[in-house]
Amino acid sequence: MVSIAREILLHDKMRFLITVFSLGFAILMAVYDIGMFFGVTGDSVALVDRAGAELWVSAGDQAHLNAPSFLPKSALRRARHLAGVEQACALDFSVGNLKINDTRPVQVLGIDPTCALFQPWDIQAGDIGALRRKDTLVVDDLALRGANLVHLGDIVELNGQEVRLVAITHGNKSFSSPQVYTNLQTFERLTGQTDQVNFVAIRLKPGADIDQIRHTLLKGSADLEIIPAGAFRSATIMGLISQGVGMIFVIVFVGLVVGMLIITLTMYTATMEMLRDFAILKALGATQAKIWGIVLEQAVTKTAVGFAVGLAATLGVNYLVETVSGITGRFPPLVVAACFALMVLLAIFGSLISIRKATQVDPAIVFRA
Amino acid sequence: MDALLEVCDVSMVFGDGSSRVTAVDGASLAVYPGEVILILGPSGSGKTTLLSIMGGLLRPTQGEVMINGQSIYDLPDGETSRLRCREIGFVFQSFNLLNFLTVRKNVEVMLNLGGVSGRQARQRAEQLLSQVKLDHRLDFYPAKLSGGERQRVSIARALANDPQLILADEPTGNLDSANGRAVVKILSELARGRRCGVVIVTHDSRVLDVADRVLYLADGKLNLVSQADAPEAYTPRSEPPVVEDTITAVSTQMLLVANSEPPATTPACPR
Repeated sequence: MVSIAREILLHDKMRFLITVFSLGFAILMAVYDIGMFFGVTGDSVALVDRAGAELWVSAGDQAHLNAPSFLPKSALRRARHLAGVEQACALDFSVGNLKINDTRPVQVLGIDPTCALFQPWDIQAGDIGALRRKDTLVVDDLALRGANLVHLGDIVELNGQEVRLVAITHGNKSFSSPQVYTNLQTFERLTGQTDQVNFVAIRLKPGADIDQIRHTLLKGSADLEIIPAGAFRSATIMGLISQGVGMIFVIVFVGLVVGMLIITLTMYTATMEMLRDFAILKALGATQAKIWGIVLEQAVTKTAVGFAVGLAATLGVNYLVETVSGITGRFPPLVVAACFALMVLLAIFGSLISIRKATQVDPAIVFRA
Repeated sequence: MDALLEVCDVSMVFGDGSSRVTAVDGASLAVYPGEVILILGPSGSGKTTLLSIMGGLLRPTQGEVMINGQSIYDLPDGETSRLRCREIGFVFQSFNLLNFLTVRKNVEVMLNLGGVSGRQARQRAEQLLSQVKLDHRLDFYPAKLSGGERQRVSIARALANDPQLILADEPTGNLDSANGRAVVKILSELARGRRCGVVIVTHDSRVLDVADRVLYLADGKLNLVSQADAPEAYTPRSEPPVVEDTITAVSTQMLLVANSEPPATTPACPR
């Protein structure tokens, strides 16, 4: 079967290439930014996801991970002694400067190494257990990128104070910087933050009454906020969006609209140039459905090829950005498939004017010279 | 013998009020298998409008067009399209080839529209193009062909689905003398060999040689000028030049000898 749509597209190869590369650029804008959104938010909530806690405790109106509050340590002790609580762990946050050859910004996490809820993951080298010792540090390999001759056991400077490197992780990072881990005591020494923690995460025993535990914790501590993990996760993402990550959606929207406009414009131009050909096809016996099919097949083919080009460009750009800055986009297959489906829908919508023109052309014009 | 095509009291009026134009006025005609019918007429006389109506491309304001006894304008759109594809072959003055397709694919597309696909369509297209002596141009695009070659592609395409009826609009209009003669020969052989009904709208007097009946359309009215079984009605010139004025003159001459009685081949139109 001769594919008329494909023949039309490939007859003018230069136009086809220009169209799919333009479309690919629009798709790069949209898909890369969606990937960045998932990358940034995924990195930001990785601690929440990996903790596996049911409840998060913060102070006052602080309600998400990127806005650390200050809780009295007594809150941690109270939580640990509540019936129904399996484990309650403190988490401290701070920004810091790690000096190796040069100074690198990092996010410093203070954890209790004996507490299961906050453990560094994807250990590349070293022993996490060594973090129990005083003035030790676990560093993500992103923070070591480009550093010369850094070995386990080396002394490095964090916020101007010496700590010993005991393990190296991979993929432990916030949306903006790599993470380093210290124990809570070292964290206090490095930051001067004493008698306070930023968050407490609580894992409940099976069958424990979550509302009862919340109620008990809140009793006598009105300034505490006790948030279910799901809500805490969402609040963290919403916090990011309100802090500017939401701008990504504007770019995504622009990318999709530009993609649709490219399809609409190229389809319309091509259809208007080929109106006589559509009239010929109709005169020869092509049904309206056939004409619909020809226009739609062109639109979908352009979109599919443009999407493939855009996706390849997206992965290329992502690789470059990750290599240079360590910022990684995430592209869940389902999200990519949804983007493609949305782009196809937009392309179909953008082709409706062309379809209308092509189906309404009077086949009798074929008799005019 | 049953008529392939019956045009029954067809009228076509464009516009209304002071801009009202009657392009075709009560035309009736029957076309039988193996017959070549020629329709002559001056520019603007409604020839093309009548051909469009016969081909199912333009619904008349009055009257009926039947192909094999089926009123084509009573059919749903899709059925009209299918009928056009399978029962009618069109040959146009300006060829109307699809320029983005090769010669072979221009014919293959017609077969695809008629429900033939794959290797069968490809072989059939090649066979048809071989019959019009274009087997050496299969993978050429129309832009690379001469006018005569394009018209032969157009004829091969028209024959793709073995239609019973060929409607040709000025098929020699853009061709030189030799190519014009070749096209006329092909069309007449189609009628004789394949028992197709062929209706040719033209200014070209060369076609007169092959016509079984000659009709003249003026002011929207269709009149029989000559019939093969009444050769005394018109004696064509041996090699008239292809010039519109000359043809108009020939046509006028023919009108002078036209039978004023209603043509014998006017269909019995249902009222």
